[in-house]
Amino acid sequence: MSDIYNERILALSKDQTLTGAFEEPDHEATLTNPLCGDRVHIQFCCAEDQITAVRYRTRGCLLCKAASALFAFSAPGMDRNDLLRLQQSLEASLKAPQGQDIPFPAGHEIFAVLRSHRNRHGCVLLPYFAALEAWRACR
Amino acid sequence: MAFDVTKIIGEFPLISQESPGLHYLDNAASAQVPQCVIEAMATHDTRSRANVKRAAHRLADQATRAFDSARMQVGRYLGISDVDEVVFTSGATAGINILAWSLGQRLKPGDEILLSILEHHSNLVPWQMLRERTGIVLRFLPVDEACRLDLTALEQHIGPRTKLVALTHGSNVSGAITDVPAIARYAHARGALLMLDGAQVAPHGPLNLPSLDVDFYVFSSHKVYGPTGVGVLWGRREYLEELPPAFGGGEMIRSVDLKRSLYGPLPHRFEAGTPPITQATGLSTALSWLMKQDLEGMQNHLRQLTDRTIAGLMSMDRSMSRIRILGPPIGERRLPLISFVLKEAHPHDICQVMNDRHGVAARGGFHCAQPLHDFMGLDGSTRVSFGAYNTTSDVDAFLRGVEDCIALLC
Repeated sequence: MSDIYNERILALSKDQTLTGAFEEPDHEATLTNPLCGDRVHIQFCCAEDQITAVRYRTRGCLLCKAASALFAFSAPGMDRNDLLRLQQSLEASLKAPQGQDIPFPAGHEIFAVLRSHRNRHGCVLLPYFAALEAWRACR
Repeated sequence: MAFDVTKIIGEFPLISQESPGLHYLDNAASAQVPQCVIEAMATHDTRSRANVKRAAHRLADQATRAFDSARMQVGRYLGISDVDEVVFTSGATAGINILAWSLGQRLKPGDEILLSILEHHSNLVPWQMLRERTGIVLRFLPVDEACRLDLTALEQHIGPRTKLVALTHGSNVSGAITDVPAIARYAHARGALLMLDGAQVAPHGPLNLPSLDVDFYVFSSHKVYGPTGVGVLWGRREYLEELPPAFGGGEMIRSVDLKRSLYGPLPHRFEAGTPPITQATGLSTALSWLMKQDLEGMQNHLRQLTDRTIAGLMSMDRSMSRIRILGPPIGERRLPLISFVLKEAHPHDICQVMNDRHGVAARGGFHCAQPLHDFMGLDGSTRVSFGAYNTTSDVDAFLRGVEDCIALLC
């Protein structure tokens, strides 16, 4: 089996638990990667500036779907700064220069296989950027 | 000499040293270069490197001769006799941008340019930028279900205010080849000029621009087995001479003082600054190499690979409910490239599996043709495209990869 398309990533990409939409989300945004066509629509509800629940609709590659699912499971309890730190930490880990082992954020170690596949980093990061965009665009 | 793919492979160092592990099927993006092109550029830089036309020394003279010779070779490849109509650019995209800028200076708000839904972004975005600057109107020729230009719609899309028809000579997504004479007749009868984006057609043999009756033509070196960083904008003298230059600087002027400059003659007025001299020698060698091949044999070979690929995809999915092949049907004239969609599998994943498990270099995404994909309701497609050194082994590796993708991803 391909090291990228391992069982954990495939399973996450197929997880439908948090797909869909809220009727009245507090934040939402859609981001598209113009190079590959991945598209993520993220919504979340908040209480006291913390995410309480996430829903998403992702049309795209397996990695983007897996990352969307992982984000949706990870995000509850986060505030805006937590979200920003998570995105920056994930990006730094993915892009770590050869020889430098920058640990992945907790729960995101499954993306370590992508370090050497720089052209796929955008697929994984898209949901996180969409979430940050959603926070900027308050309802 | 008769087309012999084994001999051809031996002339391409990257292909021959990576074989049999690599199946390079991304030629519509960039082709590989033969050894003779690599050597020509290395020889130029080793023995003749200097700036052109700017000094009265031996090396400058050699470099100038090499650059002029490259321009003449391009003229031969295009079938034109006035080589001053050949402008070296950094590629087809640059050529279109130059034309958009220069021609745009002559256009008025409300003037129209006809493009199509089939266009690569390089023949869309420069005109959109021009629209934002000048208030011209862009119109778009539709396509049919096989992603061919719908010429029945020409009459309603070319009118008295149409100044330019700018279309692809061959689609980098569908492989459809444009019926140029029909469009040229229509455009010229209504006073419009015709530009073709030849990036995908130029690699498949010498052209005869006079017989196409076009007014401007662009192509890129890196797709015609030449180096990156150089391309060609060709234009009829009578039109190029009337256009203001797009870039200013050295080489393109007749005289300069602090108040104003007088621009130089063709082609220099469109070649500001130091041109891509070494790259032009590489392009010249690539075109010369192409012209020495058995082109009919090469085209037959590429057609067979294309047909084999389409037939293979169709045999995997006889109901065609899982695989959608874009472009003209098998047997109809098309470029040697195939874009397809595999239901439930994203092009990015397909290409990753192809690369990781089968050594197939394919391309996935919009191929810089997002409007076409939007029109077809697609989030991208996967494309394979053939070059002179590809074989049936490459096709078979790709087809095995598709079967693998169906098993793994669907």
